Parts: sequence; structure tokens; C-alpha cells
Amino acid sequence: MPWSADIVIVGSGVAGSLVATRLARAGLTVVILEAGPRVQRAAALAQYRSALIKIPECPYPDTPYAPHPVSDNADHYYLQDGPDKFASPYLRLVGGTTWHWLGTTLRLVPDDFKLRSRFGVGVDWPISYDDLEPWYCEAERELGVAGDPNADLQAMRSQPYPLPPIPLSYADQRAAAALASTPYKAVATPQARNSERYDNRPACCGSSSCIPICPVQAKYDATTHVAQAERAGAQIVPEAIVSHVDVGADGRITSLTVTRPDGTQDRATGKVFVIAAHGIETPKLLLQSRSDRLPKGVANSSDQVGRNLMDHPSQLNWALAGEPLGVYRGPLSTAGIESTRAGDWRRDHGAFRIQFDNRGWEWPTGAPHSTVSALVTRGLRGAALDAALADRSSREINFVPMVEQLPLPENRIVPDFDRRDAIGIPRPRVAYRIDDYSRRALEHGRRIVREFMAAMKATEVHEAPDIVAAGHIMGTYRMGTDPKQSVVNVDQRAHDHPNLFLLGSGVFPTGAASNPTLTIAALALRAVGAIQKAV
Amino acid sequence: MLLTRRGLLLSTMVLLAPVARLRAAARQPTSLDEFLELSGRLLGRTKLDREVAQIYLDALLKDPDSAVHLATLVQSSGNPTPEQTALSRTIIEWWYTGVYTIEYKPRLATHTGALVWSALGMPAPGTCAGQFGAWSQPPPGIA
Repeated sequence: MPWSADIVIVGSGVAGSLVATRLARAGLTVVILEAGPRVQRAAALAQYRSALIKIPECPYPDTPYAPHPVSDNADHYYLQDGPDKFASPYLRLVGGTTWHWLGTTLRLVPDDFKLRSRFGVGVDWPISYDDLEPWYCEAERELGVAGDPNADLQAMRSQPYPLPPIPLSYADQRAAAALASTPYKAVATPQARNSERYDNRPACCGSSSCIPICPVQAKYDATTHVAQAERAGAQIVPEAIVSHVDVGADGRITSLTVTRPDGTQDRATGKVFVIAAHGIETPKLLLQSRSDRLPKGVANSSDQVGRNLMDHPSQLNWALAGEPLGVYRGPLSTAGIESTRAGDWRRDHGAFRIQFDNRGWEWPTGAPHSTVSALVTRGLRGAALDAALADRSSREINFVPMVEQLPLPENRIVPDFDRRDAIGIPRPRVAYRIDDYSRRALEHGRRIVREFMAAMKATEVHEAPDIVAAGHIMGTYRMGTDPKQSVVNVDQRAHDHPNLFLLGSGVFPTGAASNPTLTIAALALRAVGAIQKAV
Repeated sequence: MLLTRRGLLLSTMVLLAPVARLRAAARQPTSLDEFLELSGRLLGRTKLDREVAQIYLDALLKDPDSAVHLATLVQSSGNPTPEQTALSRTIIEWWYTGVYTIEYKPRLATHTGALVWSALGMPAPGTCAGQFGAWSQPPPGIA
């Protein structure tokens, strides 16, 4: 039995690596089992540069033993039951999906925690904003959040941001000025991106490649805490694919079955088990761990494991601004509209935020390459082509409303035991529908964006009818007080198993309208005490 | 109208004649120096990467029709044919995007060396662009 520890953690993303660091520093023995390989930044950067299509996953290996979804083909790994396609990707490698996250670190707003009692829809969280606020502060220190203390983000703060704000891009400054004629105020986005040296990582150098990869690690990623955990004594085991959770007669987890890339199997034993493998792999593992004693799978007496899958459905709206803005420079987003994350309309439709994209038309059209093609086709060349390219690209704007989804039990991920990956593990089958609550929110966002376009004297305005994925996978093992309606309790301990904790955005009872990573980190830090006590 | 055998032969000869001339012109494959000179003329630039140029040239020579049109294009000084115009635009687009086509499949020749980034006055994404916060300043040419 090669692995045995007080705490066995599945997954080395932000949640797994944060708790591993805390628990190892507390003197406990910790093993992290990571399905994917370890990746070196220089190699990933080289792979990014040589990739034909710069999708978020392009710098990273897509191994046969730990396959993952990809952004340009929703059927690559997922098996889609529809009616809508679920297209949010994630990574499986040491450090997890934080390798290619944007870095946005918004907190939720207080109303997000009581959607049912305030607006009569969804469910309430079993904790309040005030309960989580101190942990938000800790998470901001751990990740290194740069924020503007004067930005109104509709949520009380008890501590200052650890880092000074990331300056707004020139384009966002001009957008903010133009929006002064509307009821909406653009604010600086808090982000885990160094505005000065912090935690032995440099300040942002404006590489404009936060997604898919920061070349200098100015943007936080979880390899920071993987390294800290290792220094504190934790053992990281890459290429260890947990394929079954083994449960004893007393309901305690006894071990994990680990499959290696060559198909051989072994076991990991421990006192407490933490599964932090994100919103698809975690519920899939629990459900594929069915047995005679637990025919519905592990931690699933509620039948809620795998259900309530949520994202932040988004729409792209792009145009040419009336003036040069110098886009394509700096972090990919530095500002947005955040006040729309709260509002009485949540009885009728979802909350939302509007992200200002700082990468021109890259997302909607593949610019600037698509701009080259258009201008060359018009016969431009030489200095005239350079001038037209510089002018058009400088004025490319894209506003992206990202909206709340309600937890719907039929939005679901299950393992497909008939369709397996290269080492015989069931692939995820997803049923997913974007309902009218979210579609009305998208319509609301688009109406506001039209005001922005007019204020910015925009031409060539495009409104994509398609709904795109945000990469925010939430809800599939939700937190609650009622074991019949939820999978984990307020400590993120499984209702059914006293020594099993589940971390990540899968515990979110509702999805709110804020990027989830800071809340994942805050909840993980909050769970550390309960995990420690369970040993 | 019925198509006679003689008419068919004539029309075929008319269609084939330019291609035959083009093939004759293409007996000597276009050299790298010729391709660089042509690229410089099309792009209005002089300093072009020879390794990248070799990649584009090899891709063009691998396609018989492109090779023929390229051979005539490097020698052409008059009004371009539609095929020469199309090929010129392809070559310009390849240099600007760093993406070329070989055997109908797109390939990347260079990311950092794609001319679009110098036209935009910035390094390719993934490369540090300079001082922290430089993105908050107006772009060049804006007071």
C-alpha cells in the first residue's frame, strides 16, 4: 500500500492545495493524489507559442489517462444529452484549472446567500456572507488579491486588499468615462494578479495571455500552494487517477482505489479523505463508486450528487469604438459592471455582471488574425495594411454579460459506464438546459450593453445569438443543512460519511453572478478546522 | 447547342494553353531568395525571417498549382492575373498571421514572428510587454 496519511486529498487545484498547505503545517501527514501530470511553466509556454489555435487548454497536455474537456469541441470529453451543450472546460494537472483562469476574484454579495428567502427562487445557502467574510479576507491574502478600496462591490469588507489595484487599461478608462452618461458605473475588477512583488512572484508584465498562461506567474495559480504544501511536508502524487471511493460497513471511507496510467491499481488509505476534483470529476467519482451497499454511489443518499449543474451563461457583444483605445494590452480584463449582481429583478431573472474584455475581438472572431484576413481581402497591403490594422484593432471592444443560473435538478452529470476513457474510467455524460431565468438575464444584460455601445459611439455592432460557457462549473454536490436535499453540511463534510469532505464550487447551492474561485478558496480555508478535528 | 468533337478539342486547348505556359515557367522552382524578394515587395518590408520564409515557400512548392503561379508571380511586373492576386493575398496573410496552409491543413509557422503584432506595435501575447501598468497609458499617437 504505497500511500497512507492522516489526510488523503484528491485534486491539486486551489482548494486541494490550500487545505494541504494548512494541514501539513499543522503537523498532519498529507498526500495529494492528482490525476494529471506535473507541468513546467517553460514547457507550457513553449507549447502555447507553437499551438495553432490558442484555446485555453492549448499549453497543457491532454493525456489519455486524465482527459479533459476542450473549449473548441464540447463533445471532446463530455457526452452531451442536451438540450443545450455544456461547454465549460477544466484542466487535470498539478495546479488544476487555475493555470488558465482569468484571475478575477470577486466576492459574492450578501443576497447571493439567501436567494430563496429574499426572492423566492433557488435555495438559500446554509451560511451567510458575514459567516464567510473573514475567510474571504484570508483567501485574498493567500491568493494575493489586488483591488481598488474605493470600488463599490456591494459587499462589506473588514480588511483592506493585500495589494494595490491593477490599473484600468486605457480602453477601460475610456469606457468608464463614456458610461458616465448611463446609470452604470464601471469599477476596477479585483484580481489575483500581482500589482507589485508578492509571495515571491513578480508584478504583472502585461503579457496579455492570462488565459491560457501567465509567463511569469504574476497571476496566482495553485502551483503556488502545491509548492508550499510540499515544503510543509505534503506528498504530491501526479498521474494518480482515483477511480473508486471505498466505504466500510460503518459508513466511513476506508481507502481510495488509484488507477495508474498503465492501468495498474493500488490503494491510498487515511483517516480523513478530501475530494477536491472540481464540479465534474468529483461527482463522477462519487457516482462511479457505487457498490452493493451504496447502489446510488458514495455520499448520495440525497440523490443530489451530480445534479444542479450550473455555469455563468454568457453572450458576446462586439463593436468598433468611436476612438482608438489601444486594446490588446495588459491583463485580459481590468474592469466591469458589478452592481447588476444584486437587484430585486432576481425574482424574475438572474443577477449578472458585465465583463469588459480587453482582448479586442479575439474571443468572438479570432482577431487580430480575422482582421488581417478581412483587410487583405479588401486589397490592402504594406503601410496601408499596417495602418488599417492598427486603427481597427485599437478600437475593438467586447462586452460580455455573464448571468446567474438557478440550480435545476435535471441539469446533471453522471458517469457513463458504457463510454469509457483510455484507462477504462467512465466519461461524464451531461444533461444541461439554460432556462428562461437565465435567458431573461441575458436579455437584460444585452439591453444595458446597447446603452454602452451608444455611449461609446460604436459602429459595426454585433450581438451574438449564441450563449457561450464561462468555465464556471458549480453546484454538483451542494452544501445544505438538510441531508435529504444536500450532499455536504456547512463544514463541507458529507452528510453520509463522517470522514469525507468535498471541496470546490460543487458545494455552491446557487451560482450567483461572480467568478467562483475566491469563494472556492474561502470555503476551503473555512473547512480546514473541521477537517483537522475529524482526524 | 450540340458540342462538336472539334469544339471540345478547341475549348480544351484554350483552357490548357495558359497552364502549359505556366508549367513551363515553373521548371525551375522558385528559390528562397526569389521568394524573399517577392515577399518584401508584397509586404513593403525588408527584414524578413529566412526560416519562416522557407516554411512558406516549401508549402507553396508542395502544391503544383501554387508552385506554378508563384513562379510567374516572382517574374511578373505587369497587371496580375486573378490567380496571382489571390496568391499575393495568401502570402501576405501568412506573413501577418504566422499561419499557413499545407495539404489543405492550417499550420503555425511562427507566433512571435507574425507581422500583425509589429503592425499593432506590441509583442505577441505571452511575451512581457514592458513596465507594469503601461496598459493604462494612451496608445501611441494619442495625446
